[in-house]
Amino acid sequence: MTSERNNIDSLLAVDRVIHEPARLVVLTILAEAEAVEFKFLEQVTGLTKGNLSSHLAKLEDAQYVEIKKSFRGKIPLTTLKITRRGRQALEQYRKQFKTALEQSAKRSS
Amino acid sequence: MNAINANPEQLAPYAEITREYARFSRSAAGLGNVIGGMLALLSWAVWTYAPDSILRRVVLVVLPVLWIAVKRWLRHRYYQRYGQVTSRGDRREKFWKVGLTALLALVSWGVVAAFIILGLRSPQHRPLMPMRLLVEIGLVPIAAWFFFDNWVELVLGVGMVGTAVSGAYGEAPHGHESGLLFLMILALIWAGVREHRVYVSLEQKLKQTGRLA
Repeated sequence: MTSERNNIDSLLAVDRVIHEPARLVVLTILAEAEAVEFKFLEQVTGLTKGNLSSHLAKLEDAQYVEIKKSFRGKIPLTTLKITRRGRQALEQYRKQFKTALEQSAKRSS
Repeated sequence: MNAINANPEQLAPYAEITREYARFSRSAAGLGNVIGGMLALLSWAVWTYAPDSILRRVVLVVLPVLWIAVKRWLRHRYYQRYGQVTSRGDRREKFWKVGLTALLALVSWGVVAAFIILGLRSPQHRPLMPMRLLVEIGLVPIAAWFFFDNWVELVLGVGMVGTAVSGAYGEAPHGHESGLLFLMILALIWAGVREHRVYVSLEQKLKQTGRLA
């Protein structure tokens, strides 16, 4: 019963900003590159511009991503970077999730 | 987006696609190298068979510049057309690129400076080495910076720049081994074709990933 409680606690303790699937995918992608253009994220995630922007705004509020707006000629350009804080949070989330999954697998076997 | 499970292990394809795609911002050149191999071959043919003329000089100088331009254009306009993704770059790769270029710059510019200074102090009051050679030596680190994405590219690129400088001074070939050169050209073309095939399959995955979500 205690280990089950611990498992639930560790799942409840995960970072809710990252736990949302779309934001988790966005952070996973950003963690693999130095800088990523908005257009690429849109293509890979399949999210609409508005939806993606709203997720990015939440990640920016949490200081997990850095958003830079510029122009390429006359075309607006949005470039994104994961921050050190974002990278740490993603790493922490992965560890927590892995632990919770392992505990759950042990209990069911 | 609901189709995506939050399990971090199921996110691996997204990470892999991004990593692979980002390679085409720095280290992978794909068709850029296939064209580079052909331009290197053309440079060799012009250098070996064409008699000295204005056209020959211009062609020899233009070819390495054209390779750099084509490679860059393909990277931006073709291989990164789904949005620019800059590679984080392997630490080893960065170390080699910056380290080797800095070392080459130190040595070659040191040699150029020494030959000019010592030459001006000598009774003849001119550099101790022909100007063409000094220009060639001085251009080596710059060529290395632009061409060093792998060793074959580096050697062929530096070779083409050297040929361009010699050609610009109207020099003719004085017999050199071309077997190794052809081997390197083939290696570059083969690497380019392989990278391009990787990109084609990556593009398929990229489209599928978007649809899954």
